[in-house]
Amino acid sequence: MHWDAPEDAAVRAATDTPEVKLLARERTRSIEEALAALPDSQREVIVLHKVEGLSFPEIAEALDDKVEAVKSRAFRGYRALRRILEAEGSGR
Amino acid sequence: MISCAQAESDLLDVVGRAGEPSGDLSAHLAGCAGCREAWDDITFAARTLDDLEPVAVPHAVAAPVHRRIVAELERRSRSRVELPLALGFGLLAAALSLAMLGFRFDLAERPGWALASGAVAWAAMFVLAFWLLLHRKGGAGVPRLVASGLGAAGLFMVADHLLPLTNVVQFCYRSSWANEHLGVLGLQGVYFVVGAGYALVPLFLLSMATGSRQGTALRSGLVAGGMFFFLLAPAIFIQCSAFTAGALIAWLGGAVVGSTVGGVAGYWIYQRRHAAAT
Repeated sequence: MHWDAPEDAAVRAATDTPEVKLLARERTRSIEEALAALPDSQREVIVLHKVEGLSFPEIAEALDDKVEAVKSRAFRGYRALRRILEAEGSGR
Repeated sequence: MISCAQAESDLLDVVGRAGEPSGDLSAHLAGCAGCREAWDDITFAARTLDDLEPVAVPHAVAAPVHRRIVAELERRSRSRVELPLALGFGLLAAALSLAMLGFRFDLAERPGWALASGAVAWAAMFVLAFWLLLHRKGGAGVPRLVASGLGAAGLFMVADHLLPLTNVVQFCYRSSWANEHLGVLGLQGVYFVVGAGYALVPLFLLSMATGSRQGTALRSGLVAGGMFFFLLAPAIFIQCSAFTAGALIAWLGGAVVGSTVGGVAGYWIYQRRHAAAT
């Protein structure tokens, strides 16, 4: 059985409020929308890299592309993602 | 000093391992405003994505990516075996088909170059046919289909060598019993019936023995039957060269019906037996 340390329980109590949950859900939704707004070729590389945790050589292998081409798509994708997130006002 | 292009590439590697720029990259960033801005953008976006829990990636975003990866891996896995399999099956089928021709046709008088080029073209045709079959069907169940088609062709060769179909037809005309019971069919009818039997029995047995649960019995049986008929047709042409066009057409028609019915019935029984067993 796992017992929470008292400080963990206190943190969880503070972050489990309906308001915090609502804000987190809203933030997740806006990130998803920003991802969905990217071109397919950039989105798939970023999802594989940042969400699935694949390295660039692994992504290149999976997509049958060159590593540098994949990196170029990721570079443009990450920069575009920041612009979209800032436009939505959901950056950190 | 590294170039901006190299710096961009290195920045992505640093982000991937959640590290900080160092060495040449750090020095480049200190002196290049454009790359510093890019680094800010990339780390901003990457840290924002860190807030996403794995389950938070919407299905609509992740599913197409996964589908594409799976399709790509399957395509590459298939393409690695398609050509060797097509070559193997094609050469085997060509050898079998040429053996069928050789039994009935004196090839000794033909010039060597003509025989060689004919054999190459014949083999290429079979290799292409098998490659198309493997490519279109995705490889699943194809080796079993090919085994049933080629096996049936081998069985047909043995049967037709030991008891030539033309002898059976002649027996039907000479035997009073057979003449009484089959004579109503006429010569062409007898060719049709016996030709259907010679095609049906081998393919039925082989399809039942090497069947597959992949695909429907109708589709698998038709593919195996088509392949079998493709192998049979030259032998039928050669054997019928001395007879009338009616006999040839009747035998070919019988072979088509026998191949189709034998293949479909064999696959159907295999799948029924397998379904009952599981």
